[in-house]
This record gives sequence, C-alpha cells and structure tokens, in this order.
Amino acid sequence: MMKSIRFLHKWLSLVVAVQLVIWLSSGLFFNLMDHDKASGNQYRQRVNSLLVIDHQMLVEPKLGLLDKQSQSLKLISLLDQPYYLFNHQQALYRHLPNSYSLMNAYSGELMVIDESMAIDIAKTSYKGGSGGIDIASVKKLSPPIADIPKEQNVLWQININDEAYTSIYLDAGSGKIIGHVNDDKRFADFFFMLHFMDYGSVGNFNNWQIIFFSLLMLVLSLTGFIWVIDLARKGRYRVTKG
Amino acid sequence: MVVFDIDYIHGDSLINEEQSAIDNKQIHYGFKDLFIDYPLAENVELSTFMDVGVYRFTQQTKHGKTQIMLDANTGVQFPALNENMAIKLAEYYYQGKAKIAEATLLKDTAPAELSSRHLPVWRIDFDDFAFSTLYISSSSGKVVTRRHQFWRIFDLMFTLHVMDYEEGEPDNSLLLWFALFALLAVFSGMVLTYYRVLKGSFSKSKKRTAANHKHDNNIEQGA
Repeated sequence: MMKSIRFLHKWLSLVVAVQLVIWLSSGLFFNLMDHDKASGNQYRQRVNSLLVIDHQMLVEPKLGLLDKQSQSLKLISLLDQPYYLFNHQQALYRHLPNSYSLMNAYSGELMVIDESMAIDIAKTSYKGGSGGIDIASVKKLSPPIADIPKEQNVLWQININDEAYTSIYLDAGSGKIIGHVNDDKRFADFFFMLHFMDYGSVGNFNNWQIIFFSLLMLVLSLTGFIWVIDLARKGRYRVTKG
Repeated sequence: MVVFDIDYIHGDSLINEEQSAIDNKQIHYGFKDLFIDYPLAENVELSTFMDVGVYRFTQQTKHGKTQIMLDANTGVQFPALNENMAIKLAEYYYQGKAKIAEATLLKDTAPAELSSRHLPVWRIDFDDFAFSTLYISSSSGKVVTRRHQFWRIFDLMFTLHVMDYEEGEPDNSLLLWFALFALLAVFSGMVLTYYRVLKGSFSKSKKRTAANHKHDNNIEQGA
C-alpha cells in the first residue's frame, strides 16, 4: 500500500511540477500586482453628461419605424445628444449577443455609429495626453476579440498612440464604452490565462485540461499527506541529528 | 471550482430570459409627458412589467436616489410591490418548477450576498434542490440578483482559495507567505523528483552503487 502511494506520488510530481510552478507564480503575481494598473483604466475618465432633456424638443420614439420588436428602450445621451436606445434582443448580460437601434430623440432619425462618431465617443472617455489624443487606428471588430474574450457583440476598437498602448472599446450597436485595455491589463490577463489554463482564450476556467491537472494535483497532495503521516508515525521527523 | 460551469454557478439558468416586447398600442403616456411630470427623471427606460408597458427611472431626492415605476398607459405610479405581487413576479421569472418556500421583505439590512443599494427588496426563497433565492426590488420590480447554494459554496471556496478571511481580495500577506513557502516546497520537490524519479529510473540498472542506494533510501524516508 505505502509502496504504491510512494510510486504514485513520485511519478505524479513529475507530471504536475511545471503546472504547479505556473499556478503558484501566477497566484503570487495576482497577490503582488498593482490592481489599479491591471484594470487598464489608467487614462479612463467618467463620461459626464451634462445634458438636460429639453422636453419641448423631444420626439416620441417611433416603435413602428423599426422592423423589429423592442423589449426595452432607454433614453440615453451620446455626445450631448439624447437618443432612444432600442433593445430588440435583450440578453441576460450586456456582453452576450444583444441587438440595438438608435434614434435621435430630438429629430426622430435613426442613426448608426460610424467611425467618426466612435472616435468622438471614445475621446470623451480618455483623459491622458497633454497634447490631446493621438489616434493610431480604428477598427470594427467581430467577436472573438482578443482583448475581451467574453464579448459577443461587434465592437469599435479605437487604438491610442500612448505609452501604455491603450485600446478603447465601445459597443457598435449602442455606443456604450465597454472598457479600456492597455499593456498593463494585457500583461495581467496573460497571467490569468496561465492560471486558468485557458489556452483557448474563452475567458473562464471551465476547461478539461485544468480539471485534469487539478485532479492529478489533488491525488499528489493526498498521497504526499499520507506519506508524511506514515513517516511521522515511524518517527522519521526528528529535530536532532539522526 | 473548475468542474462546475461558471454560468451555472452565477445562476444564469434560474431566470427566464424571454422578455415580452413593448406593445405600442398600450402606450398613451409619452416621454414628453413624463418629463413634464418628473423634470428631474434620470435613466428613463420603457420596458415591460409582466407584459404591461412601464417606465422605470431614478430621481434624485433629499433621501438619495429613488426608483420610480409608472404605468406607460396612464402615467400612474406603481405602489411598492406587495407580497402577492412579489410572489407572482418571482414565479414569472423563475425557470424551475419548485414552489416558493418563503417571501420576506428586506427593508433596512441586506445579507452579505446582496448589495444594500438595492433595498428595499423582496427575498423569495424557493423550495428546490439548490435552495434558490431571487431578490426582487420592490420599487422597480426587477430581479436585482439571485443566489443558490452552489454559488454560496463557490463564494466560500473562493475565500479559501485566496486565503482572505477579511475582505475577499487576493492581495493579503497571509496568501503571500503561503505562496512563497509553497513555491519553495515545489522547487525542493522538483529537486527530489529529479534525483529520485528521473535519474533513478533511467540509470537504475547501469551505475547504481550500493552507496547510492543507501542515500536514496535516506531521502525516501525523510531522514
């Protein structure tokens, strides 16, 4: 019995060793890292809308204009203009597939967020750079999106030319700022990927390889624990020189 | 933790995702009317409350932000949810088949699993296998959060995982020292593995001397 436990322990240690180092060192990294930096929000600012709705100018939302039914409709503001945001397919979470339409609440016109509008919205959320904001490139991305693995909607990506390589993401349907991602966040996310063994980058830890390795790890620690008890029982742990 | 689907843990399957569409014919009270009656309204949303068109919005008052819900047909404000309505609503949202075990109105204090900004809230406990609970805001009629036993266990396990017995964040010094000692243990274990498993098995028959053998036995027995 003890012989096979020792055998198991020794050979499992060989298989699990490298992963164990990865788990522990990435865990240590999360313990020590600067959480503000890792959030990616170094240059993010709240979008303060000072918009006061002038109800005289308000046009009622024309639900009939849209060919799809709406489950909810919100009065929002984008770039200091009021808009009706229709949600045709409201998912449980924002990052799951949603379907939107936007209508200017003063003119009643339907609107789609184009590149220049995406840039303007992104700018309102960015506070860095003394000499203004230097935009490196703008792209419309369909999921999967490397920086935001959970996202399932089409996003505008506005890449900023700053030392942190900030990318600003906003939902192409609703214009909502999804987040800022910079190299500090990408660095932390890389460690999360390692910690979760999420090599397919789906953004969670429900994968077969981590289940497999954690089971091996469990057996390794149980066999080690039994071995320790066995040695202690035999009086092998002594402080004095044996 | 890794075996359980995280979406299941977050109770995504507890809630009925289907929502009814807004019926234009039901709406005779417009956004304009709303802003005339409530000039300070913020975050105005038109949606449904059990198939009835409603406006929901917040309004800044002396006592902080308050949630208001209006009938989109008449503009009449809904009273705070009573027990019957809360139960009806919970049954409407709940995906399972179990009966409701208890409905409690939480007015002033929220349990740890509910943020106190949602108060006042109806806590609806279901008599199901997972001890599911829905928390429904009594002012907006929305399910603000949900919990079941597996999620509660998961939270506990996460606390153990990051060894934080105070705040639930993975940046405490207890974890730091345990991680450092564990790394030390792993590296010494790797040295042992190298000598005992790798070198041991691949050169066993060739160069193993008796002295070597004795040395190995000592290591094995922890002396």
